[in-house]
Amino acid sequence: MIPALAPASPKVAGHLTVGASTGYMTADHGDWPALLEQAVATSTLAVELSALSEHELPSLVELLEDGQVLPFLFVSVHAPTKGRRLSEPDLVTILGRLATRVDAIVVHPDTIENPRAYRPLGSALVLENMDARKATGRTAAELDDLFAALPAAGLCFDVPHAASIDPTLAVAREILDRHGARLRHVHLSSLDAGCHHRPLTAADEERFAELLDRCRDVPWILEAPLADR
Amino acid sequence: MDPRSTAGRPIASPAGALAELPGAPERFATLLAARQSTAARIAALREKVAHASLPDRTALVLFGSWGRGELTGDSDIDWALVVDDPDLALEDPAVVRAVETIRLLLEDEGAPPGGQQMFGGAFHAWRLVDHIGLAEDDGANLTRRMLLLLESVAVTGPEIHQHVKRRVLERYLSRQSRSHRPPRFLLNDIIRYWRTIAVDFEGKVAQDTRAASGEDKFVMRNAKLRTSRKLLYVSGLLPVLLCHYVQAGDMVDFLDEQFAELATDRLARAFLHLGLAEPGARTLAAYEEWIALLSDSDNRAVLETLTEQTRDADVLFARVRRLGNGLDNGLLALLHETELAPVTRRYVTI
Repeated sequence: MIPALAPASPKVAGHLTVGASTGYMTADHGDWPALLEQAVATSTLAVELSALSEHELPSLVELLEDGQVLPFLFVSVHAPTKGRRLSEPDLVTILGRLATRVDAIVVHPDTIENPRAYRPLGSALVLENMDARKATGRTAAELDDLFAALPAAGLCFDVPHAASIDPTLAVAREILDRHGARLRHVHLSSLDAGCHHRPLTAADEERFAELLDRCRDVPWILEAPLADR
Repeated sequence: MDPRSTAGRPIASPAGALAELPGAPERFATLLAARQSTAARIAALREKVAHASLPDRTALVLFGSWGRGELTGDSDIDWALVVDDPDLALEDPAVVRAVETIRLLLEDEGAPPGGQQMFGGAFHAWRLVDHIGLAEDDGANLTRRMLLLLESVAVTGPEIHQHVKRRVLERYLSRQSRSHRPPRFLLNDIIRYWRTIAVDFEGKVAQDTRAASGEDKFVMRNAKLRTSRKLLYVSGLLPVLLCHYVQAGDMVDFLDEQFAELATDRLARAFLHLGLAEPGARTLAAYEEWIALLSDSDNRAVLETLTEQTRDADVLFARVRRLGNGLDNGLLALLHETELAPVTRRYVTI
């Protein structure tokens, strides 16, 4: 049981490996000590260090390469999706420096130009299923070709993204049916009408329960803070 | 909450459970092939030793990857002549001759047992049964007893092997056995064995440092601790915890049935029984990948040359660490996120 999360959701807090994404801590983006402090206050078990904007990546690499031992059991890094200036090979080279230092490197399929360029990341690479706003990487079928090109890659299953494609959750189930063998971690939150991550609602928690039960063996990363209910 | 909600649903034998997980048999091709090749090698060994003159009431037993059905190219051969006749001294010429004969017959079957004198000779079965706990239950006795239960296979004397395992179980359950109560004596000994391995790991690190032998086995030992050793431990823990669903009078038979099967089947059955088929398949697929990785002599060579200082920058070790974490998370989910969780909390924590 994770005490900081228990008032909001005993069910989520009761999962063995839950942690925060620094992505939602927008006020402190770029200030890694402050972000780590907030992440630790949520959970010391897992964290996703988010460099959604490319300009955040160099300082994140510096943080992870300076030999500081982080307290978390599971550490993932979210690769840049915005403000991209680096060429794809250069980006992969930089991410490759982290491949032995973290448990997973999350990449959005819609940012990938040449899937094979990501092969050097090996089993550190995980691909995240996309939300309804995106043009690709949203469904099991749209992930097929990527996984075929990247046989060692894992799946980061973003539950609300899949639910945004299909509220009946059939798309979500199909992603797990088809690519569940690759599952390495889960992204968990609710979404607003614009597909922005929002605190997990009680209704969504109930709705997602059947999916989360299929994901009991992997870390769950919260992409929005859990609000007390 | 009383977790005995599946009390009315019998726990099926673990036999063949790995092949019932989602994605089988393709997903577990290495493990299933290793089982077949191990069985074939054991059958060949039986022919090889068929004409050896071994004393009555003895069994030639194999442990380690032979007992787990996971032989890879470079596996050691941990063997012992288990003597079930208390009047037959280990120094008796017949036993000494038998041990020497076995040693010669097995010398080209794999690297000989390690240097801790636990295997590669004869020991008395009665010591395993009569000396549980206290000073005479030394590390060798504990290890032999645990591995006999958790990962052993008879080359000769299968009925002796089975009989000794049964007596060990009966000894654990002899003083008190209550319906739906996991037997604490056995549970504590399994936990003790795992903790002993983990503590000895650190002891070996210190010993190697003092000896400054130039040999650095840290990384391979560490990798095995994260994978094979941990899997074996939980495969022993689960049958005992599953006694929560078993009547006292059936407990020895239940444990006997469980420990007659391979560790990976015991785990697969627990995942299936407790409703975690998909996580179970991923967990055992992580183990499958570890065994496949270990089967490749190039990978072994890399792991054997890494040190505690160099491992963190190595891609292969990073992969091993991920597999170990996958295994860890799956086993923890089984113990803590199923209806078994209250039993785990009640019996394993204190």
